[in-house]
Amino acid sequence: MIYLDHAATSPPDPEIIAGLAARQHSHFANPKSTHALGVEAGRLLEAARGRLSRALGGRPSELIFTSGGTEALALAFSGSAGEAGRVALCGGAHAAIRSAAGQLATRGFEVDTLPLDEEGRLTPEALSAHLHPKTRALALIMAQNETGAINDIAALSRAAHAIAPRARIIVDAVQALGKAPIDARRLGADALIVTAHKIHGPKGIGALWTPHALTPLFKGGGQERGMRGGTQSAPLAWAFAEAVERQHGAAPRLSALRDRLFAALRQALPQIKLVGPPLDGPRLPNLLMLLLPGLPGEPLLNALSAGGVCASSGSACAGGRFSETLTAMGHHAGEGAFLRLSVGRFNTEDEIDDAARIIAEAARSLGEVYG
Amino acid sequence: MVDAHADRDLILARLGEVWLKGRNRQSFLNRLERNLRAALKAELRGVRVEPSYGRIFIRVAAEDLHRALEICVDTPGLSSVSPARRVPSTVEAIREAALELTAEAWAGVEGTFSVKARRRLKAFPLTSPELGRVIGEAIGERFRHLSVDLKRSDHQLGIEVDDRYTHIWTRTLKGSGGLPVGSAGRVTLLLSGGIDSPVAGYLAQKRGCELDAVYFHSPPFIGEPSKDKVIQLANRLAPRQGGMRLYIIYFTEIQKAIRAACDPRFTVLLYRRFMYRLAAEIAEGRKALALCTGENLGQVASQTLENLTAVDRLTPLLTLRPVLAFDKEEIIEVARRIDTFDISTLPFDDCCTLFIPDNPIIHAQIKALEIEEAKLDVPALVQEALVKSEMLKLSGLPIIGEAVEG
Repeated sequence: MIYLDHAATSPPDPEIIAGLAARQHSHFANPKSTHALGVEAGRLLEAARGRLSRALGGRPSELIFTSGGTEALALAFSGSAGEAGRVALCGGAHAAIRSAAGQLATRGFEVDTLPLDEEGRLTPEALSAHLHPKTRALALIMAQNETGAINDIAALSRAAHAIAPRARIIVDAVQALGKAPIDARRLGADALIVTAHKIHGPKGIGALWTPHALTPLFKGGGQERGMRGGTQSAPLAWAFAEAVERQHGAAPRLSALRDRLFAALRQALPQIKLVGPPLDGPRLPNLLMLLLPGLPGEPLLNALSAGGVCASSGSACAGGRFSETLTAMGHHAGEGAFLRLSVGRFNTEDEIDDAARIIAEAARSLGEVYG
Repeated sequence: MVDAHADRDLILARLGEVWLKGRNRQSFLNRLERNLRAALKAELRGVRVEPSYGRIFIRVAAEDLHRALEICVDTPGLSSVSPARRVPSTVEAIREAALELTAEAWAGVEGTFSVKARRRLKAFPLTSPELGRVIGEAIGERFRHLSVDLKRSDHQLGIEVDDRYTHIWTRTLKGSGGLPVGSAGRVTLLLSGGIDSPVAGYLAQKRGCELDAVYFHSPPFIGEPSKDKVIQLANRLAPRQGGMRLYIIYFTEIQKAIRAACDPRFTVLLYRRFMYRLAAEIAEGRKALALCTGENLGQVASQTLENLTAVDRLTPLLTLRPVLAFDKEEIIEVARRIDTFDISTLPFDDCCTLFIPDNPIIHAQIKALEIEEAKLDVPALVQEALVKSEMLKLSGLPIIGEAVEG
């Protein structure tokens, strides 16, 4: 199988898995334990915290490990919102943020959604026009998971603070990690969320950078500065730090693979359209969202799967409903098949060429039935 | 008298309609016993199933009692089950056990109680009413806040005196009733991923039908998750009959041919006619006595009387439609009970939704359908689909079946 769905999750780096397995034996102890094994595990955990915080432009004391991106987003968003008031999120926010916002709405919060432009980005102008001055928390997505559009977080933070000085800026950098430069402070973020499994790390660990104190979702034993209870996994934290460092510098190779794929597909299927910013514009180096006019989405994915290519529609038809992000960009389900292809650093040029051929064949044979 | 299995919990299972059978009773009983044993042993270890005088006794490990009761309740042919205590048939042993049992079961309860005693050992020193009264008085002394109400009591103690043993219980669960699966013969179920067809299959099972299921798959238009969904549904039906065959018939070429050649208003009915033809072929190969579908009268446009007639004429086999007259709510109620509803409502389509026009024919003339089919090589399409079909033998355990034929 040729795996082109790295935006959903990525195959773990075998060396990280081997290292993780070894450390699950050697560093199993509770990092809070005061015996020798606990101290060893604590050192591994804190070393990982240091490595990861450095990669994000923060201090070790500002990093909280969580079970993954969803939990970190929920903690950052609802933990920053206070008891009552107003929160906002950008269009195209991940379902984790949208559902956290929905939960805040049921608790009586006012929730504003800021509109996207036709490239799938939130502009500082749109933000200024729609953000309420009393907003307490604003959730922004750094790189959009369906279109790959990258928002200018620094500019958005400045614009937001000019209008809503008390707003905490929460940045979902799950897709951006390892693909776009991240410096939490320069971005003007109050909280920044990342996860390991999109960059060939294991599932089950994410992190939240924040210099602030947040209301915890659960306190447990008071771990992670009292903001995220539960016994920490030093081996998983190690694997996360390792994954981030190994992914460093991968962007040029990713964009070369992406461009090669797009060029081959363009040649075989001239009718395809790129959704979101242009290839040389502000977008993820590893992700293409394509529109294949007149073709059905799900059968195309099924045919690709049968032909040996794992791809996705993004959330284009998740649960039978058309993507909110694509809708906000002016698209609709009847246009054709939306196909999200996302490469990873273990993909080879040969795989890219084979995948382009398989996709073109599947599109052609479906076109015969639906034409 | 020593009970050899006193360390394990006992279930007393009562027969439903099986008991009404005349000369065939023994074969029905044998079937029920076999089904029950298979269903219990598929999940639990050290189970013993023993029929005795119109009852079936089941011994299970104490920690398996709850699950064993669930399985019994789901086994067609049983009218009710009770976790029971077995003691020697003496008044003293019965009184002692009755007090022990009620001390556990009725601790802290309020209201009224009754004792229903029945004796089948005529040599027993007390008559049934006398025994009931003796035990009732003993309990009344123990539970002074409970009063006796023989007609409509909140809590019942049951006693059944046989020649060797007496059984005592405080709890009775209603069984699914019906007849043992397999006692009516084999039936071929057209199983989709929807809510209705698994319910139809279950109802047929409940009247004694042993099912083979047939599912029509249409890759790439329909994805693997849809197929897995049907396998899960079939797995919900399989344990009731100790395993089930699921035939997966590849329907893509037929659908493509219909789309290419035929009037789109007839699409759904043409699909259904092919499904009936193919299911009848499978049924014939398996010597099945009938087809079974989840069709309902009037639920959707393809289910008018005219349209049902249009599919009915394709095979001489009888077609069972157990949910024909159910309202959707009634079907959903059964689907929830047999635990298929949450699977059926997973958001994966089946092939009936493909290439469907906005204006399907509601009252089809068979003649018109035959004119459409004349544009196709029907026998060749049927043969091709059969050759490509595969079969899974499902154990009913919650795992994906293994393909055994190509």
